[in-house]
Amino acid sequence: MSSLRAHDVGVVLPAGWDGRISVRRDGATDTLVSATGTKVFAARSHPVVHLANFGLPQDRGDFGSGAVELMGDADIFVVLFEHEPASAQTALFRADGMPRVLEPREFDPSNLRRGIAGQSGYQAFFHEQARAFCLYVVLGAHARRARLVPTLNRVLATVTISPQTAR
Amino acid sequence: MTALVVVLAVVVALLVVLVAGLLRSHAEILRALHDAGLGHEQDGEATEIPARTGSRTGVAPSSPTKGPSPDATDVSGVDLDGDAVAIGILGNPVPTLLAFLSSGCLTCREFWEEFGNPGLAVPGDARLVVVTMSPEDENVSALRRLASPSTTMVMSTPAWAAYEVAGSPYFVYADGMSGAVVGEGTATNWARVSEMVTESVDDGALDGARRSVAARTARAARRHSADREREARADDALLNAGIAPGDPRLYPATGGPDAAGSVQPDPDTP
Repeated sequence: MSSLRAHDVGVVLPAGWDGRISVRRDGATDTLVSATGTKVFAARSHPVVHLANFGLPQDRGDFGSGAVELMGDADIFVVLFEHEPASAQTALFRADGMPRVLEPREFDPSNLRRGIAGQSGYQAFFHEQARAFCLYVVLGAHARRARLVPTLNRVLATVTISPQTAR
Repeated sequence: MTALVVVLAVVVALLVVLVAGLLRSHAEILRALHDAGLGHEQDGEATEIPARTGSRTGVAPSSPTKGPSPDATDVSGVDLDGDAVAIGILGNPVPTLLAFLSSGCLTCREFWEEFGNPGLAVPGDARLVVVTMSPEDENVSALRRLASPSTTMVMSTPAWAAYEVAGSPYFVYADGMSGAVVGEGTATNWARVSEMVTESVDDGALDGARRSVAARTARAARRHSADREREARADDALLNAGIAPGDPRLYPATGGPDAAGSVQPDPDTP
């Protein structure tokens, strides 16, 4: 079992699971003023969490391109993608709290960002701790969702989101 | 003139004694280091590493240790940007080759260069993961120059401790299906690592580890099945005797399941 915590997001992974909590540097720019008075423009960083019960490749996109192609029937891939905190007030993210108990019937191949035959997907937008997130899950086989979702739920139950601290 | 010769002779004699003392002291230090099992990196040779099993005074095995030692563990730490990383090994059907490297070890340089090759063939159909010590124990800026962005890397001093790695380079071939370290050891080049892993697989260590786990699982399943059958036979015998679940005769000390919760502990019982 591995505990991962970074960027005010934490998760406890079962044995054999890969995980990364990294940051993207593609947010809106902040203007900072250095000690010498020089203006510095820095992109705001937003975390992206990748969890998988298979080996995550080093080169992969935020929503799993490069990884989902490698998935087998029993594989699960989870993305927790943070958006600008201001988005938390918008209608898209009005759901309060991350869904931590999913149902097999909530998975559908049409939810996939990359329609790989046989796979199934789930996507939800929500806010938690004044932060806006998208939860995206890919199952290796739609036909096995009843067996895979309980395993997924055990991982989702361990996800903690704290108020964002200054970065 | 005679006096000068005598003085010079005395000085030379003193110098001879001093040099002899220094040589003896040096020899004692070398002997102590050897006894402590510490190696000496020279001419591209790998640092000597004690074997996993046995005393820590041994020399690194020239080939991986044979036979499963069931102590593979998942690895977690950070990457060069300080982001959190977890590498799942246990239960993974793809074996993992952990390469314990450091920025300061000369022998490691060859491996850092090899791992920059995107077409690198990893032996034993394994997934290659480079493990360095944590940022506080490593030179992060040097690692940035050495590490290939295409190689999976985790910085984790606890992983070095968990796998009992005493020096670098060191390689561990772990099988997630059995949870066993199938082979491990040090080498001076990638070709030798490939040989070591291939030998481990060819020697049947991987299959042996998996057979051992399968046998253990089968035994546990048989034991579980036998327990259930025994329980069912006992239930049948009780029912045939007219004793159903909740029958007070099953609770002679308390008089029944409902009363059982109200029994006060004997104050004389420790």
